[in-house]
Amino acid sequence: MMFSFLWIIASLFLTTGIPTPGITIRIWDIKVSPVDLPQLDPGQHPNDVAVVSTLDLTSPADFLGHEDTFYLLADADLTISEPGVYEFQLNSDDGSELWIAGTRVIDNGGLHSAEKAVGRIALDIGQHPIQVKFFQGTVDAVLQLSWKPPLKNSFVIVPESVLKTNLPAALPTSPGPKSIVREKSPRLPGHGSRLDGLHAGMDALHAVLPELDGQVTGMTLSSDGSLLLLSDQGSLWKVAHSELSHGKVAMKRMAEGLDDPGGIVLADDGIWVVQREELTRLRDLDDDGVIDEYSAMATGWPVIGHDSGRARGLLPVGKDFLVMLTKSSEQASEHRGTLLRISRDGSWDIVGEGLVEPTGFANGSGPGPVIIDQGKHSGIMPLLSDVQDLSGQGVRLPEGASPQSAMWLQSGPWKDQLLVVDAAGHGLRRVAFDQHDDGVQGSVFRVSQGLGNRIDHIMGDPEGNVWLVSHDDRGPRVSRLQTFRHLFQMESIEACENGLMIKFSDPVEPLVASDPSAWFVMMESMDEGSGQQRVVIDRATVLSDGRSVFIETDDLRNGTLLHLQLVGPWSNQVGQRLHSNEAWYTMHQVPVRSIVPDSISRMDGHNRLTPMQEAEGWSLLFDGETMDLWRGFGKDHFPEEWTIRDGQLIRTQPAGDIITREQFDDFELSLDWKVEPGGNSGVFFNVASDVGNAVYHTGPEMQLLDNEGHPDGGSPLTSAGSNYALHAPVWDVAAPADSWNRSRLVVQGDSVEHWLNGVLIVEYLLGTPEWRRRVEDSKFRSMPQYGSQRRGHIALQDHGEKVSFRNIRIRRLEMDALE
Amino acid sequence: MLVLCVLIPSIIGMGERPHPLVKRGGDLGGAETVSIQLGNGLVGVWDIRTGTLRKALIETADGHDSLDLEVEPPSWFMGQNENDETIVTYSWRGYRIEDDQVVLMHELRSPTGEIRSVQERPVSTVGVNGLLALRSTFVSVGADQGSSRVIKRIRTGTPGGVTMPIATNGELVPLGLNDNFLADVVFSKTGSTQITLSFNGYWVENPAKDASGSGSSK
Repeated sequence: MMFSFLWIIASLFLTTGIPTPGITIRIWDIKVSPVDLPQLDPGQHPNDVAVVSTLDLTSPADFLGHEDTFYLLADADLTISEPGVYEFQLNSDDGSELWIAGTRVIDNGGLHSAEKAVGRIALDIGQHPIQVKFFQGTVDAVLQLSWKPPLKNSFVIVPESVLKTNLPAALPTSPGPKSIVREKSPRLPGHGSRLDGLHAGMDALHAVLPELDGQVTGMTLSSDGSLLLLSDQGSLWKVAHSELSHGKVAMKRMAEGLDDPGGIVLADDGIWVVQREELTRLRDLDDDGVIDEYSAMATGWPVIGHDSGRARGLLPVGKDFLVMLTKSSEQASEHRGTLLRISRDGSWDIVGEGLVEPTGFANGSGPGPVIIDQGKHSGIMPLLSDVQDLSGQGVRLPEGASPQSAMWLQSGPWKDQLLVVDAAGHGLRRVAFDQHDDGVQGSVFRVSQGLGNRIDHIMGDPEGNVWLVSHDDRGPRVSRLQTFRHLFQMESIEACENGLMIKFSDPVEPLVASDPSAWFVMMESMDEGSGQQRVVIDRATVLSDGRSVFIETDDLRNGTLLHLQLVGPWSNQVGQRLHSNEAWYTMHQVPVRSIVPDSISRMDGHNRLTPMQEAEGWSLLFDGETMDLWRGFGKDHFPEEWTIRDGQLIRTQPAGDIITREQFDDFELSLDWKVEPGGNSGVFFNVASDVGNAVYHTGPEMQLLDNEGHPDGGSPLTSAGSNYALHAPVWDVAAPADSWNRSRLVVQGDSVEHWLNGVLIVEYLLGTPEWRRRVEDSKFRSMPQYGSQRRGHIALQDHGEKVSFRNIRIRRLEMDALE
Repeated sequence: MLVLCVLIPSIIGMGERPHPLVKRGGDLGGAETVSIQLGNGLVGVWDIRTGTLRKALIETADGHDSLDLEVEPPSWFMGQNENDETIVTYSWRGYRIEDDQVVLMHELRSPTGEIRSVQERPVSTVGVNGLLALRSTFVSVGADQGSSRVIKRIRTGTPGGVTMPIATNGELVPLGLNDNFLADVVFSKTGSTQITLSFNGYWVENPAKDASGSGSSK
C-alpha cells in the first residue's frame, strides 16, 4: 500500500514537475531546412531540454549549442494579474508561432530573416498556458518573445516573473537526428500521380444534359445516329447532337417507369433493355418517338432487397442475351454474382459465376465479351467461355479504382484495347489484354483526366469518336472525344516466365531503356495485407524494332500485381517525354513461355555525341576515360579519389569538389547522375575559383539527391533539382536512388532553368529583388559573393556520399539563339 | 384494420413532371410488380408473377391508403367444361400504352401446351352506388382461341374482411369456403369480359370527382 502511494507521488512529480520560474525549451535536431514550421514524427525525444528565464534567444549558446536545422518548442504558464488586452510580439529567424491556451495569437511562419509579428489577445487574471513553436533553417537563429501589457507603450521581453513552467526539469532526451513529416514537391501528373486535365491528343465537345435524371447505366446509338441514354431512374432518353459543336443537344424522353434499368441494346426488332429483373423489348409502335410497348421477354430471377441480384449489362450473343446479377450484399441467393444467358423465349440459365458488383459489358465489338466488375477485385474480365469462374481472369485496376464502363477501341495503335472509365475519379484508363495458354491477364495505363467529377458511361461510334456521359459541377453532360493524337507512351505489356516485354508507341532512346535501373518495378500479392517487394531487373534489352523493350527477371510470381515505373530521362528519339511513366500488370499466372530478345543495344555508347548533337554545338566534358577538362577546386590537378569506371565518373571516397578547367557564361549543360541511397551531390555554375573557400561561396547549385533517403529530401527547397535552399522544384520527377537521372541546366545571362528527366522544374532570374530576398533568407546571406558571377566554372560536388556521372556535355549559347 | 397509410414518393406527388403512367418495380410492391396510375388518385399494383391485382392504393391528404387484394396462386385456370378447372402456367408479357390507356399482356400455358394470350385494360371508373371502382376488361387474343374457357381468381374482399362489390359480365363463382372472400370469374366465351371491383366504405369518404376517365396522358 505504501509502495503504491509513493509510486503515485513520484509519477505526479515526474510528469508535472515542480513549478519553476521561466520557460522550458525543447530542441529537436531535424537536419533539414524546412520551408515552414515542421511537424515532428511522433514519439521522438528532443535532443536537448532546458529551462530559460525568458525567450530572448539570439546566439547558438542560447539555443543550447544548436546553430542550424532545428525545431524548438517553448512552454510555460503565463501569470496575468491585470485583466485586459495584451499585445505580443515574436521576433524570429526563421519562422515562429505563439499559442496561448490553444489559440494561435501570432503567425510568424516561413523561412525568413529576423522579422517581427504582433498579435493581441484578451486575458483574465490567472494562469494561461503559452507555447512558442520555432524552427531554424540556416544562418542566424533568433527568437524573442515580447509583450505590451494594457496601458503600456512599448514592447519588452516577457519577464521571468510572469513565466512559470510545470514541465519536469529532467525530460528525457536522446541524441541524433529527428525525423519530421516530409514535405515534397508534387509528383508530375501521370508520373506517380493522376494525370492533370484532358489527354493532350484529344479534342472534346461537350453539352449539358439538363433533363437527365440519375446515372446513365446504358448507352447506345439509335438508327438515326442519336444517342440513347438509359438512366437508373427508369427513363430512356434520346439525345440528338447535331448542334454539339455549339454546345447544344436536344433531349426527348422515350420511355419511363423502368425498374432500375442496367443495360441497353438496339436490335432490328426494337430496343432491348434489362431492368432489375426483367428483359424488356421496347417498341415505338406509332413512330412518335415515345415507346408504346414494353414487352416482357424474360423475368423471374430472384432479386433480394434493393441492390442484391439486380441485373446489369446487356450483351447480345446470337439470338440470346447475356446479363449479370449483382452481389452487393451477403444475403443468401444462389443467383447473385452470376452471369445469365437469356433466350428470347424467356428461359434463362446461369453460365458464369464469381461476380461481385458488375456494372456492364464493354461496349462495341472487340475480340470477345468483357465484363466490368466494380467489386472487390475491380476487374475487367474477358469472358472466355460460357461456363467459367470469372474471378480468376482479367485485369485489375490499381489505386482503388472502380471500373464503371468500358469500350473497345477498334482502330489505331490501341486497336483491340479497352478504354475504361474509373468511377473513383481517376478518369480514363486503358487496358491491354495479354492472352496466354492458361487465360487472360494484362496491363493498365493512364489515359486522361479532365472529364468531369464522375463519368457514367462510355461508348464508341463507327466514326471512331468516343462518347461519354459525365457529371461536373454544372450537372450531367455528354462529351464527344475525337482524335487521339500521338503521344509517346507505353502501349502494351506481355509477360513470360523470364520477364516482361513492353511495347512503346515510338522508338525509345536505347541507352536509357536498356539500363535496368530505369525500370522500377514493385510487386505485391493479390492477397490483401501483403507488402510490396522490388522486382530485380537483371537486364533490359531494346529489340530490333526499336520500340520494344524486354526486361528480364526471375522474380515474377503467380497471383501478383506489378507496378512499373519508368524512371529517369525517358524520352522518344525526338525528345518527347512519356505521357505517363506508369503501368500496372495483373499476373494471375506467369505464362509458360519465354522470350530470347534479339538485341540491338548494349550498355555502351555513353559519353559520345551523336552527329546531331555535334551539329548543335555540343561538346563532351567527360569522354568516359579521362578527366583532362577538370581539376579539383583549389587544386591544379584532378583528384584521384574521383574514379573512372565503366564510363562513369564516380566519387567513391573523400575527394573534394571538382571544377571544369574552362569557364562558361551562357551555356546549356546536360549530364546523367545517380546517387546511392541517402546520397547527396550537386552541380554548381558560375563558380569563381579565386573567391571564397568553397564552390558554393559563389556558385548556385542544382541539387542532386536521393529524395527518399536523404534528410534534404524532406523539404522541396533542398530536394533533387532545386536551386538549393532558394527555389523548390515545381514537380518531383527524381528517380529513386541508384537509378540514373538526367539534369539539364540552361544559363543565359541572369536566366536559369533547371530541367530534370525532361521536365522544367525550376526557373529563376539571378540578381532580382526576389532572388536577393531569398538569398537573405538562406544561409547564403553570409556569403557576399554568392550568385555574384555571370561567368565561371562548373563544379561537381563531393558531399561525402557516392555519386556517379556520365554523358556530361555542354554547349555555349548565343544570347540571340534562344530569344 | 387493413387500410394502411403509406407514403409512396416514387409514384405519387413527387417531382415536377407528371409521374409515370406505369412504373415497373419500385417502392409500391417491389421488383415483381408493376404499378399503374389509373386516374382519380387510384393506383393499381399488379403482381407480375401471378398476373393478378396485388393491391389498390388511393391518394389521401396524408399520403396514401392501401387495400391488400393479393390472390395466392394458382390464380389462372383453363377448362374444357364446367367441371374442368386446370391450373395453368402464368407468364408476364409486359404492357402497351394504347390511346393513353394501359394494356397489360398476360400469357397462359396449359399443361397440354395450349397458349392463350390475355390482354387486360384496367381503368378507374364509377362502380355500384357511385363508388370509386377499378374495372378491368379482359380479351383473349390470338388466331387460335382454342376451345378452353379462361378462369381468373379474384378477391371479393380483403383477407381482413373488407368486402367489395363485384360486377362482371362473366360468370362469377364465389368460392365461399370459410369466408375467404375469393371468387372465380369464368370469362365470356366470346368477346371481352369485364370485372369491376368497387371500393367500399372507407373510400366513399373521398369519392372520385370524375370517375369517367382513365389514366394520365402518355
